[in-house]
Amino acid sequence: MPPRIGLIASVLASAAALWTADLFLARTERAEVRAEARHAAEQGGQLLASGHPAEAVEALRKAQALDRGNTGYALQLAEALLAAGKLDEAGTTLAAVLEASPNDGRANLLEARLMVRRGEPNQAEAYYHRAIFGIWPGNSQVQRIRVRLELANLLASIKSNQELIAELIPLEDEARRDPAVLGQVAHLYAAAGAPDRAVAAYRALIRQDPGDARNYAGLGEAELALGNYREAQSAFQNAVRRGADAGPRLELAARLLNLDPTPRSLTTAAKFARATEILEMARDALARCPAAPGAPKLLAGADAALAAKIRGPVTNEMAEARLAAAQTLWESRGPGCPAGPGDEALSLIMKKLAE
Amino acid sequence: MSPEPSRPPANRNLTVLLSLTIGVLVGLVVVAFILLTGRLAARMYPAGGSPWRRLLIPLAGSLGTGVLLSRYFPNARGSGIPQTKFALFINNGYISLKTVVGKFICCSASLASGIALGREGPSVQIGAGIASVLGRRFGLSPEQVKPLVPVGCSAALAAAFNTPIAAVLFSLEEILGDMHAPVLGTTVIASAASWMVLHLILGDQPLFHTPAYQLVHPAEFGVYAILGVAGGLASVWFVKLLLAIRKIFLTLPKRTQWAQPAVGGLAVGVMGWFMPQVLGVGYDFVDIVLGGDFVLKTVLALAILKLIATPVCYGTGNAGGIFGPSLFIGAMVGGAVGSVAHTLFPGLTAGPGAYALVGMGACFAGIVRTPMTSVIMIFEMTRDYSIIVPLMIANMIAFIISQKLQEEPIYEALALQEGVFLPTGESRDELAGVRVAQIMRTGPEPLPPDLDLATAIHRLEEMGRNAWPVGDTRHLSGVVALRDLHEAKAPRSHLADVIAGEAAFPYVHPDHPLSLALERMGSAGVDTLPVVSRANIRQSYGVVTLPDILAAYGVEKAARDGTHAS
Repeated sequence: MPPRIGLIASVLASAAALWTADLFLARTERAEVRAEARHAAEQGGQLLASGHPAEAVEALRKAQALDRGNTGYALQLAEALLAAGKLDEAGTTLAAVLEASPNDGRANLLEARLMVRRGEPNQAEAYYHRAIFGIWPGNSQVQRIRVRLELANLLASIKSNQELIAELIPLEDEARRDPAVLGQVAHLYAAAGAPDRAVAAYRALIRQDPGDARNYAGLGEAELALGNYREAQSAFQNAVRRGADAGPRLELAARLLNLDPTPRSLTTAAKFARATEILEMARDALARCPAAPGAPKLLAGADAALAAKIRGPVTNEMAEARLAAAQTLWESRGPGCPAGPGDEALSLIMKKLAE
Repeated sequence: MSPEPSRPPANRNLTVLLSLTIGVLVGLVVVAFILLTGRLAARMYPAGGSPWRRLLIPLAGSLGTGVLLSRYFPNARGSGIPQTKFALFINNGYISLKTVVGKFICCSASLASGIALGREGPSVQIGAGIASVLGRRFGLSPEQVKPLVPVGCSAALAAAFNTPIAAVLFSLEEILGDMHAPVLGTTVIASAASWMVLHLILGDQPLFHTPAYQLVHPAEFGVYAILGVAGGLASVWFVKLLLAIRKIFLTLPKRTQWAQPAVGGLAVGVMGWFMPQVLGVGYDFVDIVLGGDFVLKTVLALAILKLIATPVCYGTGNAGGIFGPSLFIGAMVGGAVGSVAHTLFPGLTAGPGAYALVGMGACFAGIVRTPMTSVIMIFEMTRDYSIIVPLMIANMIAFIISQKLQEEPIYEALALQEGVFLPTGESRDELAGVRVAQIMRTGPEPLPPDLDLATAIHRLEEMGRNAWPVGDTRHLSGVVALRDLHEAKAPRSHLADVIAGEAAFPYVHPDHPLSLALERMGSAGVDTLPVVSRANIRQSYGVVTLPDILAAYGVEKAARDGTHAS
């Protein structure tokens, strides 16, 4: 059958017309659907921010269904699902995103949060690290600092101090110019049992903003932990002067200054007097725990030691003996002992003595 | 099968080129159909629109399309699958351009207005129609146009469902009823071309988005079997209700045809007032159910409502298909079964989304009766291989239950209601070998009903036949046997007295094999059968006689040779 030019031309023209119409319709649909999805996502975001995660999930689910290619909607949905406690569905949503973009910083961060919610902190830590080194839109440095700080708080909550310090060191370096973050870093250093680093961080903050009372209060706490009671007192005085409610801490620092038996400048008599006071405090603390193993015998021994008459001048050995007895009494207290008014001061002194 | 002489098949290169062209054109048209329907629906039901819209728009839509269907596009009514099969088996693959345009317009309006029918069946008719029109315009003979019909069907389904393999399978399994049909190559070409067009325009997105499913415990197979039973029963209910409603509306006066779809529109509008998800195809909600996030009460209510809404919409003569609704119903039934199972045995079963997916396949297999297509279609739609085995189990159970409780497949039954005898799966097997059309006699006229009995006996004895059709070629009254004429007593004096009104009589169609003609002659005790149209069994094409059949088998010749030998 001979091909008909006219027919072929009309078929080609029809195809071209249909193609144009399809593209127009597809573009219209895409634009309309995306606008609808954007509206739903905005609505979902507002609902989530106002503490309505269940409603936010519905809106964001719609947004994601309308615009499946939009990873942002999927991640927003995962965040809402996490907030709503729908962990399985959040996991499924995140798995799909991570499969497509394994280096997505936000997806890894949400997966880390999911792991935290599931009680798997080790897995969470791995995802936090992927998030830190992952790809972020916009200012990735800010995001990385935020994620590392979140990880640091997690590590602090599970008392994983070594790992915490390992995160805080780079964080301190990255957030040198951000007082808010540096303040948290300093606080976390103290929580991680690294008061010397905390002191350095607080001093750096005070150099940046000498007017912030919180930094002085933090510095005071760190100095207390280090056993630098004079420096702590000075810091708390500065904090009070700048309006912080640090009066009780200032009093504590003053009390510790008067109780501390370690300064080399103390006379033997003064050291003995402080050692005696510490022993009395330790005895009182143990007396509040009669159920502690060996408590009656230890208390009897302490009472006898305190009641014994001192013949002749006191010696350094006598002071050291009373301090050693006080440490024994303090360590004999079992868990759950009711706290007394001087326990915090005694605790700090004992810590310093142990070091 | 046409009694007219056949021309040789079209040139192979031209066929391939035409298939490619059909694939591209059908793809473009179906994509336009999907997009247009979607955009129209979005405008009919804007976010936050008044509930009154849900009541009034389906009513207005069905009224409008009802007028168009009854006045201008009568062949665009319904799903499109039976109409495509009519075209293929009765009309030599003829589908008019007017029907294609009508189907496009009416279905777009109908589906956008919220009528609870699907878009895939109409797409198939549109695709088949484009193939038919294109074939004719290229000057192909009816015999050459016929093989293009399944080509258009597969191209349409590939674009409508985004399932190129299932589209080919459907064309072979349902439309042709022959998995080894010689059109396999051309259907594949058209399906692939259409699918590519779809992807170029709409991108690579499956129809449904499903999370990854997995079999949690081997005991789950039992739950999937239960789902197969539920899907099978739902399918039977759906088909029986649809056929019953259609039957009622077919008996109504023709002058009411334009208003009949409005009954469906009103019914679905009332349902949509309370549950908007019942309106339209409902794929958005299916997607949510597949995600596993739904309330049991809602899916149960939707399954029940859709099981009523779709048969009512279809039965009242609205334009739209049943593929989409069958998937919707399946998802709801599966979701409900899965939800109950997961609540009772959370450690042993997957989430309800997996069951919704399998339910879709089960109901599709039960309603459409194409189990292979169903399995492949669900796999292609979701691209999840892990669900295949449960899907096969549930599909086969649903298919068997549906076959047992509803003997006639839905499309054949619908055709039968229209007075058209489509070949069933079983009868297609019988079509192999020599056909009646090849040996039938087109010359002899039926005996006139007013012929007196004596003359009739004389005519039959003269022809040497023991039976002969009575009536005229356009309206056969029946078949009269010589023995009945001899036994007839007064006052019967004419053939019309012996032939009982519109009583059933033995017949064959031109595409029947000779073996079936012999079988029917044997059971009726006659040596002559009328050959009648599949569209109207009272319309005669001619007769087939026992000696002619025997001659075709070479029996007469052998007997003659034997006589000579003796």
